[in-house]
Amino acid sequence: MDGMHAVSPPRRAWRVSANPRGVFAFRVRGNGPIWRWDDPFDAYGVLYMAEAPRAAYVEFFGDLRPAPGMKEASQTVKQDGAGMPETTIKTGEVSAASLEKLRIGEATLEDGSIADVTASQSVQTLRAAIWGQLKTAGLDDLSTAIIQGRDYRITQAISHLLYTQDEGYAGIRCPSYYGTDLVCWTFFQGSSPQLNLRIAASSLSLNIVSSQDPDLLGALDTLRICIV
Amino acid sequence: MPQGIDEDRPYTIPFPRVVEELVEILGALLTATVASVGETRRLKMWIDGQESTSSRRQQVLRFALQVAMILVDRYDREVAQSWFQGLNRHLQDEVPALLLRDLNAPDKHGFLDVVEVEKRILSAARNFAER
Repeated sequence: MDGMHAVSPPRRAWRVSANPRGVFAFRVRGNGPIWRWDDPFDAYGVLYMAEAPRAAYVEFFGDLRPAPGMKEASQTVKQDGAGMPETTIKTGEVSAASLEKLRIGEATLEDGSIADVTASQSVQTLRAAIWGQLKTAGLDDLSTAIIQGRDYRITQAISHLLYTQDEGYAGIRCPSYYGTDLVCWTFFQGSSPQLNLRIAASSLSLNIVSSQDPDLLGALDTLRICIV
Repeated sequence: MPQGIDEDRPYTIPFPRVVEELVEILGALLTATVASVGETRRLKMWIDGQESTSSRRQQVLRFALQVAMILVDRYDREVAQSWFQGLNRHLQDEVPALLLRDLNAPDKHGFLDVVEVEKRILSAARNFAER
């Protein structure tokens, strides 16, 4: 696709999941929840990964960030109901025991052409290509904020456009919602010339998340989440 | 691994049972926050059948139990508690528990608003549960 900025994927990528069998699974949206780069027509699967373990952890735990308003709300409730189960977790906390249910998986990647969707030349190319969808969504322009934002009608339109290009992009590179230093990689499920993940057992690791993992601790520190 | 849950169940069991099960997952303090009541003893009165409450509040708590069950099925009660109290990017960085609390205020939300907020919260919960 003329004008798109393409890059090679990293040699390795990571993902955190509570489902050991789902860590490296390409997902098709179906009736499930809607994710950023899903195909709106369910024609292809998508695998979401991160460039570094810390980024994978941030992506996973981001929805558990502390909320100041929650602390205030809790303080207004009088705890005078004796004998009832207590709320044991405060806002911005995660239990160490809960981490044992999580897995962090690592995969090695073959080379391929990945669309860098927030590169300046890509943004302008995409703006022209999905102009109609932008107008339908009530947008006059396309920016990196929109690409990294929450209107998944736009991101999924981009995903489908890139997947259906003749030259066959293998996936999408996009900085995380939580910060541009954290890079997420999305891989399309498909055949040559698109990228396939090499997930042979010899090159794959799948480990229980450890509360001592420095990458986990770094991610939780970034998110201001405490382990209790 | 998730065992699969009957998501209609919170809407078919008696209200006292709904409160009891929700308190078992979220704990009394967080359940009281979601219910928008100032004392946890009110929950005990609902569980014991000594007091009832508005149909709107009952609906909010039934819905909260549905969401909590989805999260517990994948994780555990501690993760469910954390999720209910966290800033959620899928909810425009709002907090599920506080969104639910505000659904109890009839002057703040019309029926369509309630449906829309519940839809967003359910989608966010399923999103987290599928990770």
